[in-house]
Amino acid sequence: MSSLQEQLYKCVDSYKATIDQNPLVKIIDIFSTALVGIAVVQCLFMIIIRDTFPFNAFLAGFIICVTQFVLNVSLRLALFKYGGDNKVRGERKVFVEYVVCSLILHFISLHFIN
Amino acid sequence: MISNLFFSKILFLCSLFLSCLGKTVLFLHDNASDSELTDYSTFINYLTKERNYDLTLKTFKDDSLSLLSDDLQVNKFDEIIIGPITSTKLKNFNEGQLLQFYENGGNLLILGSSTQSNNNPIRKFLNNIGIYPSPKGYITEDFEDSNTSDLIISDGSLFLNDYIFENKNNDKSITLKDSSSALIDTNEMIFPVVRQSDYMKNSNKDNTWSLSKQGYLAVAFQNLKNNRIAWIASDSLITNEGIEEKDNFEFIKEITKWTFQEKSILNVLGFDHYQLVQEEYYTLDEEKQQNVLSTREVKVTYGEEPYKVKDFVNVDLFLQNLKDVDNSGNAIYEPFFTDDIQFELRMIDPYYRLNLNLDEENSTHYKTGKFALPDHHGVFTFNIKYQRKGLSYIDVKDVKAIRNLAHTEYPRSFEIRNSWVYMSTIFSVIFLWIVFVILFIITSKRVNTTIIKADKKKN
Repeated sequence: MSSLQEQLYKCVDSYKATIDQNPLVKIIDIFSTALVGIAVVQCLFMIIIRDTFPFNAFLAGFIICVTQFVLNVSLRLALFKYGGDNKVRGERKVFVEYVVCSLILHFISLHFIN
Repeated sequence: MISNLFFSKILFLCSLFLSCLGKTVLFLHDNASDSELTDYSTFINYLTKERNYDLTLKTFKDDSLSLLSDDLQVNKFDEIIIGPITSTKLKNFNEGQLLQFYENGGNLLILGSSTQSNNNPIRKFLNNIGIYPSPKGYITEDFEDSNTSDLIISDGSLFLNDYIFENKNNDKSITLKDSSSALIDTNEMIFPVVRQSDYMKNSNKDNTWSLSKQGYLAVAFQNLKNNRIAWIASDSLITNEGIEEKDNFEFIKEITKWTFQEKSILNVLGFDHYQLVQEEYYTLDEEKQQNVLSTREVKVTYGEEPYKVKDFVNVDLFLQNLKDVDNSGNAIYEPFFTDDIQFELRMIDPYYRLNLNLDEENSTHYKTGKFALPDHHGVFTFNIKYQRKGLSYIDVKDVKAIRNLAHTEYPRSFEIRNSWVYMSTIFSVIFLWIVFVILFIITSKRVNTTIIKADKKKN
């Protein structure tokens, strides 16, 4: 029986091993963390000024973070194999899909903020 | 020459027409022995000579008596004065006719008396509208005075309506003899003019009809069409003897004028609303010899530019009060000063209730001042309703739609300082994404090849 602490250390070690092995995972994760940070900053700003106006601008800013995060996670899952996953994916195709989706997202966000 | 003749003819016709314009007044009385009413001659002279009324005297029992046209829709007289009535059953006169006369726009001045019969059309009519005069034989007495049946009313607080008779300075008094008294309904359209003093009592030997503040000696009634009724407790006010006492003549003059719509009529000269828009314009600066940009407020009517939410508007009301009508029929107006006229902007519920302020330059001009329309679109009613006891009622309204903003009329995000934060986050996300894509392309080439090779070996 290993304690929770040991499990956590193991988890962190395994994660470190993965990102050391693969720098792509590292940059995707850094980018995703940054997105979470930006989203939190916006929420804090809205709470501090105690005003939702302009709400559409807030939504545009917040949703672009969330959606970009989701797209990043999709990219990460599609590029790297985990466990017994034997699917063969074309990395180039996956990346192009990711770029196209992101561009659409940015376009919509800029329109929504008016 | 011809035009001169023509003009003089027109003038002559006009003067004829004007002389016929005097109001037709019917004096109904119950005095068969004295059909010319010599006892009331001073008052009748006042009506015919001073006020130029076309007066007809008739008794209730007169066969030719008819107040209405055959279809009951038109009154044959403008106003009716009703003297005390002692008969009970009348063949060709009933309270229904009187009510129809009143509904058609006629005004009634009714004089009571302690000797009035208990069952007569006038009493039924008064009971119908909520005025209950004391029964026959009940006399109002003043126990403050030695001569109890002579009432002297001089205290200003007993005169309850300043728009009918004003006695704020306690410098006027009226006297009543053998007076009756009335109880009144709680109906908002009835309002007392003179009340009994605290020491007055209306009673006969056995019973009391009204005690001190309960009873009223003069009562007025005005319906929503501004038709007026006044009831006075005793006819001693208009007898030759009584009319000269104290300020009785002035009181009866004022109450007659009020009843016949010759005073305390609010005249709405105009009701208007408009938008106030900031406009930029250039003026020439003399010293610098160049055009300078400045702003001014411009009135824009609804017709020019329909209102939209949050626009700034102003509502105007032009108002004057009828002070008197001179004997040739010309109205004399005076400015009306008050601070309790309210404007209401409503769509089912009121969104605004604003008190109107008097304009400093124009004494007939009331205005709300600039206010912002609510942030809610829909069909709104601009309404001013002013109903005060003794004054004619005002109810002016205008129904207008307030539209919502078109999508191009909202401020852009870069004009709102709050949204700069959100805008900068969006641009930072896009910037980070571009950096990420570049890094991804740079790093992935090496890694990809190794992974693919490893895969191939396995397969």
